[in-house]
Amino acid sequence: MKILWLACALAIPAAAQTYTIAGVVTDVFRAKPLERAHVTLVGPKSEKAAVITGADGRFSFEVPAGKYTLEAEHNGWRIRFGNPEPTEGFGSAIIAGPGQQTGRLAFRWYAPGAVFGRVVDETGEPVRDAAVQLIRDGVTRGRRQVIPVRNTKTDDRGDYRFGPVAAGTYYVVATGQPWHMRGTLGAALGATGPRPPAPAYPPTYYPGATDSRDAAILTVQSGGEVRADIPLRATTGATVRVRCPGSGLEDEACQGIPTFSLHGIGGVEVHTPEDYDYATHSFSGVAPGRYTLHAVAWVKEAYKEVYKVVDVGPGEFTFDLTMQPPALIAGNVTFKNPLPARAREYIALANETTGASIGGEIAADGTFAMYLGGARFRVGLYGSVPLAIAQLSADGAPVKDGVVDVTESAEVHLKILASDEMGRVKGFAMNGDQPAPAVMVVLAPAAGSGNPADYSGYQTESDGSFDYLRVPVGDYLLFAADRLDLEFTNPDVIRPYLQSATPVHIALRAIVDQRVAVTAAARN
Amino acid sequence: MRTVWLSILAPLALAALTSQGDYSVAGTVKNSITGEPIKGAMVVLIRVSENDMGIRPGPEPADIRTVMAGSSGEFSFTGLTKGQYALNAQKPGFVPGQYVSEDPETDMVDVPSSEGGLAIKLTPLGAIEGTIANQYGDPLRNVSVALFENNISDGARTITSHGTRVTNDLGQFRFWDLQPGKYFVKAMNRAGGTYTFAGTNSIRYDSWEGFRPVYFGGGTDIEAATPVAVEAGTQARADFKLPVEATYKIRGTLENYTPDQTVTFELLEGGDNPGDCRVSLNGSTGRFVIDDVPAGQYTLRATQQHVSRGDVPVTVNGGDTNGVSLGLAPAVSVSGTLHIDGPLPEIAAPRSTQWATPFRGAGANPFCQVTLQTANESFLLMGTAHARQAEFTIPNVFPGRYTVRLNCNGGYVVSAVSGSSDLLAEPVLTVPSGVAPPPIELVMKPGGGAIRGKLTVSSSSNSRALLLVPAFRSTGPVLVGGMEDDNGTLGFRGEYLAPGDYVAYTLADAANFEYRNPAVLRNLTGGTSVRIEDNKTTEIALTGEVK
Repeated sequence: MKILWLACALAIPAAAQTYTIAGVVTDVFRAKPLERAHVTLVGPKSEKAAVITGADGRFSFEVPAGKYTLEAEHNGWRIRFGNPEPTEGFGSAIIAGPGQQTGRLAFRWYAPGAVFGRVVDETGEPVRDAAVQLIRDGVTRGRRQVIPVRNTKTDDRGDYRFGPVAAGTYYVVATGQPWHMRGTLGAALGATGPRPPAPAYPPTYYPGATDSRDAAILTVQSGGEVRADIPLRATTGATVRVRCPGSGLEDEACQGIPTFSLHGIGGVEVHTPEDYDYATHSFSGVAPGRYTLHAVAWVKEAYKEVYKVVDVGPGEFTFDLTMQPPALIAGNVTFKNPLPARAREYIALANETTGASIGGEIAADGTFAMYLGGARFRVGLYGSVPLAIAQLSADGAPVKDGVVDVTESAEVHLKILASDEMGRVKGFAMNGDQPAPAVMVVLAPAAGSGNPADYSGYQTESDGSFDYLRVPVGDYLLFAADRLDLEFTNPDVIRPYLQSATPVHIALRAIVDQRVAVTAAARN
Repeated sequence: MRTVWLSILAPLALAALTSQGDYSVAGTVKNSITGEPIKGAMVVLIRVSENDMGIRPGPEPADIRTVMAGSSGEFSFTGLTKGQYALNAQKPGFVPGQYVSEDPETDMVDVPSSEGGLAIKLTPLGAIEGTIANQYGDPLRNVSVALFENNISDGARTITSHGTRVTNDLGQFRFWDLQPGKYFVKAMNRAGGTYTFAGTNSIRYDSWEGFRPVYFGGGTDIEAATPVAVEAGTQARADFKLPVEATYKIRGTLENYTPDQTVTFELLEGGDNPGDCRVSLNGSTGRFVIDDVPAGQYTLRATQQHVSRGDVPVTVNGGDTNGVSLGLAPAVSVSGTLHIDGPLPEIAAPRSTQWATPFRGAGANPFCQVTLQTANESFLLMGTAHARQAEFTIPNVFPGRYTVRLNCNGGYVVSAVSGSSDLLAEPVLTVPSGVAPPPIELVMKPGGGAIRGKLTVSSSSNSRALLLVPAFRSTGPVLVGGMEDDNGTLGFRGEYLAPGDYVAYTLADAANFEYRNPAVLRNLTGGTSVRIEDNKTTEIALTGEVK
């Protein structure tokens, strides 16, 4: 072990009692100590120390009592102690102090995996410049989400590679156009006679499925590589002409090139055609499927946009994207208690499909207004004072489980009751009479809820402790599960745990101290 | 004379080929190195016609036909009328190529005399791939790798960039579609660029070890690097084993920063040898943190789009360097005027509207193109002044030392100054920080002398040219192109030359000759002395070539 420089060195008063945080970093995949790992320890005041491990994988720090974050990095892959992958916010802190067993920590470091493969056409020739997308299907913060995590293009051999990627389950989808159809080449081909329908490669999921229901899931293990070759088969593509009435341009042309989003796994966008003809406002070589078309325009200094879901088959299509003012999402927030004078609070609207979030400031009188395209948005609050949404209702759009379903050009008025009334729950997860580090403690609303925001999870620290600093007042059920990837916001998944859960009542500014026994994972 | 007809695949209108005939053309697309058929190439046949002036106009859409070659490289066109056709093919991974006939006079396909068995040979492109590992053998991912060519362009040595790649998790990188040639590969340290953030959303890098930017084969200078030779259709390797060392951060603030603008940071070791780094920049305050910096002496350069730039020396020595203040100074405009000393020729009316071009000939409207070039950057800054629109401006010029190149036509330059600097004596313009240099004043005399030379061809070369090295203060050596005539001799013709004494050389390979390098010129032998006089054509007979 080599002591590195101490970047804001841990200041240890000469007379202070110190404790040892030490252990071995083990590469779980290779089942041996991790050499040349960069181990960093960050203290309660962001003070930092670092060492580089030797062949024995050992690290050791002498520190005052306190709560520390411990991380190990190797070749750019940083893992927090107690967490199998680099997710921010999870992992177990190290509690150093009297009676704490922090001198012989087993730091399990999970090497990343990779997904790679070759994209070929029906003749076995590599397809270069094919767009390849990696879509993760996994549980993050108690929620199962299917979201694109990485995209790339194939090289001259048709090869692609995603690495490093965290262990987990994934889909891979490839899309592209035959090289001779791209840009001016395609136009030259057409010059031989009446232009034939341009071929297109429909988005194709591994192992060769053009229907997302037939896509195969890839399981990537720590340190493992998964090969996923994708054959593309050209089909007759459509020619799609798009007009934008109300755009203010001649021929009802669109301002800029409209975008196409093909509906795929989990509603994920996978494809935008490349061949746009400025003269006819048409795309050629569009793979058949269901798309959301999107266009925006500034008409007389007013912003307008449109989304339209269309089905495209082989042949020729013309779609009118009638320019409309965007949806207005306005409303007002009532605060249960007056906020401090300098508080700045924001409303967050997170698109449920893409995960993209848009924020808008809440004025001093509690009002806000945002212009957006139609989508399903999850409403949240953030800012200088922690707030919870106690009530949410809307005029002009349906609301369910914290999600408001906004249609195009709708005028939606939200009414939000924001509460800063919080309590605190802390304690220990226990395995019999032993504290249980690195288990998931879950706080679920006693009355049940379909809104994931009403559930929270806490990965216990090295001493088995958990500490929810701010919990909206109310009645809850508390339990601890021995799996970190528990989909704890799903009422069906946690139902078996709730039978033996501990009821907890959180009162304003009260601190509840609670021990909770770890329930073995329900095997099903 | 061979006519080169490379495919013009402009997005022409989509009309059908109207003329239908009884003839056909067929052949195979082949790999020029292996002789193997190339499947699925795009083959284009263009009917070539001449107008009554004997000039070939560009093809009409109706003259172009395209097919995709089959799995054995085979292709055919049917329904053709008699005539001359250009035939070419392309496929990713190959240099686009045309049919080359055995007849040295033409590369046209003559229908119906040649109909079948035509071979189009395409030269395969090459690739360079490699891995980057540290001294312990661990692959280094997310490393920026740059590819350069060090070649001669317009008589001067130029470093051309072929882009960058970022290594994957196995430390691998790959460049493809490379023409045969010699390349230089440089590992540039970790890739990242500038992350501009608002509020507290800073990005956190794990910056604890890295390496000094280095060329393949070692060295921080392209002249000392080992070239990687790429041959047609081959893959060359460039594997790096680089000693990683501790790296530190440079923290500082940009002065005169316009909030929320993109800024590019460059770290130049010893004022040269640029490498990559990862930077997080606070878009409201201009405070920045640069990661991955090994100990050393640097010039830190920040460039805010085309607007402003600043340099500051930074020493990193065993720890983070804090409190760097980097002042951005605005780019300036270099302006100037072209003065014409003498009467301008009258603009002749175009003879035929069909052949009217925007350029009515340099004689009618003398012009000068002014180019500013830095020693290290491959990009050029240019401005052009015409006799009838005499002022020019080169915008967005950052501080530095520039070589000034004057390319003039329709006359010759007798004087070029910027303040007290004589740009004909020493073509260097120094631009101070934030201050425009004195305007460039060019004086040009319309007309000038001409030269005509003849060389009996002794070998084949397609970049043969006549080099005229003036023995007096001028805008530099003049290159005169040649053309082979029917008698097997090579004729040269150049005009708008400054009157005076020159030494003329015939260059066998002008494209690869560094004639703007004075040291190279000094070593030239075998020249012919010539005198050029105003409004006269000097005739010379040339005997040998400079290889």
